[in-house]
Amino acid sequence: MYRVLREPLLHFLLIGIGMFVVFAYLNPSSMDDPRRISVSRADLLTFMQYQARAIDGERLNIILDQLPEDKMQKVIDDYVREEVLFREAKSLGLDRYDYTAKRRLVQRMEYTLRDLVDSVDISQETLSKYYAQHQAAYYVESEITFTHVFISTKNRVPEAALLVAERTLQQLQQRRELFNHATSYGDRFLYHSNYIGKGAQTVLDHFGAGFQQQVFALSEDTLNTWQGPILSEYGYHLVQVASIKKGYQPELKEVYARVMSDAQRYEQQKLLDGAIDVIVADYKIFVEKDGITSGSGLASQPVTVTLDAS
Amino acid sequence: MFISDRSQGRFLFGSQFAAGMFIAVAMPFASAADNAVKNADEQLPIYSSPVREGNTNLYWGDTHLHTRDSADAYTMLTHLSREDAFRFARGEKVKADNGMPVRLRRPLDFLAITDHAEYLGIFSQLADNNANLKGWKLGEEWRDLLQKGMNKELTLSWSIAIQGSDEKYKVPLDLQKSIWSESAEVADRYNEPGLFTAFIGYEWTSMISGDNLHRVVIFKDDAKLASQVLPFSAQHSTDPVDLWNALADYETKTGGEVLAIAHNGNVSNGRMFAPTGVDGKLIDSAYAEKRARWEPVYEATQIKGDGEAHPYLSPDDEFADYETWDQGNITLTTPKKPEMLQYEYVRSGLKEGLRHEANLGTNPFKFGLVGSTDSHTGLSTPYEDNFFGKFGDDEPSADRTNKLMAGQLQEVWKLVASGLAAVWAEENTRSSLFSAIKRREVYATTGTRITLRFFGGWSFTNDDLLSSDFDRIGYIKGVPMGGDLFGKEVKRSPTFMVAAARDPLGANLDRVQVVKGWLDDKGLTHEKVYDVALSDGRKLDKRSGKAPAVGNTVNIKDASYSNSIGDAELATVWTDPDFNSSQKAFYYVRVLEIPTPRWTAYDVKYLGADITNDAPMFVQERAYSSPIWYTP
Repeated sequence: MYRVLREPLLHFLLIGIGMFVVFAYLNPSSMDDPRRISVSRADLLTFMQYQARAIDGERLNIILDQLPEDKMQKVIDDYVREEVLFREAKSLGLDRYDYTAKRRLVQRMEYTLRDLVDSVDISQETLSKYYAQHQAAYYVESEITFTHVFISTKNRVPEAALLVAERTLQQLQQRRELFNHATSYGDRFLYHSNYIGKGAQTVLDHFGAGFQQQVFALSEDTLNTWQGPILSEYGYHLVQVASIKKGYQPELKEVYARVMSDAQRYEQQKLLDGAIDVIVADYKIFVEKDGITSGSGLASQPVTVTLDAS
Repeated sequence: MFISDRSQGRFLFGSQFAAGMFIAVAMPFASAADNAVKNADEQLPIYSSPVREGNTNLYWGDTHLHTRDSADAYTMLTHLSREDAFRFARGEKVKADNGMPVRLRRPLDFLAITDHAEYLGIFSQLADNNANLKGWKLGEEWRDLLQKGMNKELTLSWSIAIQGSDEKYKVPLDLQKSIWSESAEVADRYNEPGLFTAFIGYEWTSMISGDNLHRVVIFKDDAKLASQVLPFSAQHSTDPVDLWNALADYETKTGGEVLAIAHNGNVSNGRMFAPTGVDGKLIDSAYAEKRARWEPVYEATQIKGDGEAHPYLSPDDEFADYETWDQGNITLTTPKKPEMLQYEYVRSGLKEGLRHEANLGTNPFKFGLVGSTDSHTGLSTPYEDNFFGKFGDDEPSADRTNKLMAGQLQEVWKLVASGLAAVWAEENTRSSLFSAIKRREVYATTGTRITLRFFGGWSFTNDDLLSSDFDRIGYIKGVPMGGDLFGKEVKRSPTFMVAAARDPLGANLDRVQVVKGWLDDKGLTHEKVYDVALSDGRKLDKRSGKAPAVGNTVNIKDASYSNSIGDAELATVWTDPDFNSSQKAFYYVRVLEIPTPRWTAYDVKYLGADITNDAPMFVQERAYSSPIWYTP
């Protein structure tokens, strides 16, 4: 089956059918006649640039002027041959099946449209409305600042480690040891000693879920005192929390610049989508499913979407 | 059989995939870890490394990213702008060029957008039919090509023009100036000291007969200084010496600071670390001094292949063949010959450096290591589970893996989801990060966020390693990665303190290795890889000296793995058993993760891709520290 599809003979046959279809359906007298090719000097120059893989237009202009008759005819023939095959490929819909070509064109079209909606002015009202609708994106997560003394369970039995942890805690409490002296006690921890303004996710990643929940749950009156021991994936921790900032929803003015630029982008995208919708509305869409076709839309350009597997 | 682990459910191509490519949100975990950072003054005096008040924090970023302002990106369907790229890096949601909404699960701490200097920003202006282009002949011709959709011809024409010195190829000066200062101002706008660093940068695109000598150029300064010069392009010169001179001119003229980072020696066909310069002459001490001065770090791993080591050069190193690209030069116009390889890879380059130092008095290849993406999509996506490819053209789709990169080069499945630059710096500001890069206190990863500390000294002990302030001890008793050890008639061997922790969202570690290179008394270079820490209590085999393999939990069909093997953390104090105090040497660390699915496995599972059997389906991601050098 697949071998048949690769047969050159079949290709010629298909091309023949394609030409017939084109011939039958289009008005041969029109200037838009797909079977009429006018070759201009500019066309030839572009073609030669393409062939020569060079962009020196001036040089090519001179070369074109000096081409002998037969060479000139050869250029024209090659150009015509390429143009004909290009049109035939298009009329056979081969461009439809070249996904890269399709995507490139789609992107260029989007880009062209984007230029039309370049600058958008946002009113205060629109901005407030946008912020109200997208509050979650600006929520400030809870943050914690703490230091810790680490007692590893790697080279100790858990009971011994716990004992060391409790004894160290006593020392820290009795001496009212300061935040920045924590590194004079305990073992090397694999990540950091101090965590400044970190979110729950970082604490979770570095210590595991149990530790994260316990340290965030410490109450106000334990701030700036030594607490613990809290168990993590790696051992016991004696912690001194300097602050826990509860998560909150900021006022608009606090995040004004960010919201403004997001709102602008959002409005631009809306305009762009609107512009595309208008173009789409000019097409008639038929959706085929289980052999039944249902259609909608207005006008000239039918697009058929087939959903069934066959 | 395959145990579900904590990484499950965090993968990008999860069930959310159909609804769009939303990446789970996370706070920037690596920023300002150990010191509260207030809005620091950007114009602080330059940090001086020996005097150290606080400790350093780890910051993650990308020093090499392209947007639509790079001509090749633009013609390959990338339309995301610099603004989009910065917003994405900072953790905001943007729409990729393939239409998918995307957001990083962990934002970056810093980013340098380094679009090609040659025709910087021109192509997007061609498409916009910008009035500035009127009267510029080449621009008008290109606009016509673009409007006719002749992108391939346009790319070809561009690649010829970028190294053309002829006047007709030049962008009008006013246009160059306005585009450059505007792009520098965009970086200023997104730079927020203490929170996010946006570097001003560009790429110098020299490729003599298709042999890659590209460098990204990164400024410490703001737009006010950086806009006082124009990007130095391959149209000015294809010789890196001229680039370095231009960078020196910038510093003299403005009092600012700038550096260059070379990349892709693997497609330089023997030119990157060659004993001869572009002029064909043997490199001399002037060359060595300039190179060492302007190129403190090298980009060891990126989307077009990993450049740490090559199996041909390091036959005893079973992990040397990682994402190797050795078909030919960057344009694939000249095939690779084995004798080129020694001048292309990090390890052999570092060895060459020792040899040159003995002859010239200066080591031209005394570089630290960073990784970066070199993505041309505006999206810095180095993870296996969120890989967006090289160009807009090969962003996620079922058929992308069988396309060719840029329509004509390597198969897309060969692209590498790599890498990241990790920087140990005091704070997240332009000046602090820039200084850290200059003193080489940086390391490379292939995209994973392995935490890696590496100190060299003469008296580290196991107690130091176990101490909770081991990093402070590291600085007091020794030097960090990128540093130097000196000694005359030293009787003892140097000790190295190394601690590696897995990516908190990633895979366990397999092993830590120290790679040593040295110059013997006859002037010959050697290398040796030591396994210094192994997971799961493994021991080296007494007879072979090799470690047993860590195992493999990757389920290719499910694109999953399990942390049931490997360790979360590996740390050790290692003493060089083969030390010879009269020989120059360097030491760097390589950390290997346990095997995890490669991006191709995610494409099969979540996009339904049909990929050739030649494509690998799992990888062992890794980190490479900057070296510590010993000089007698």
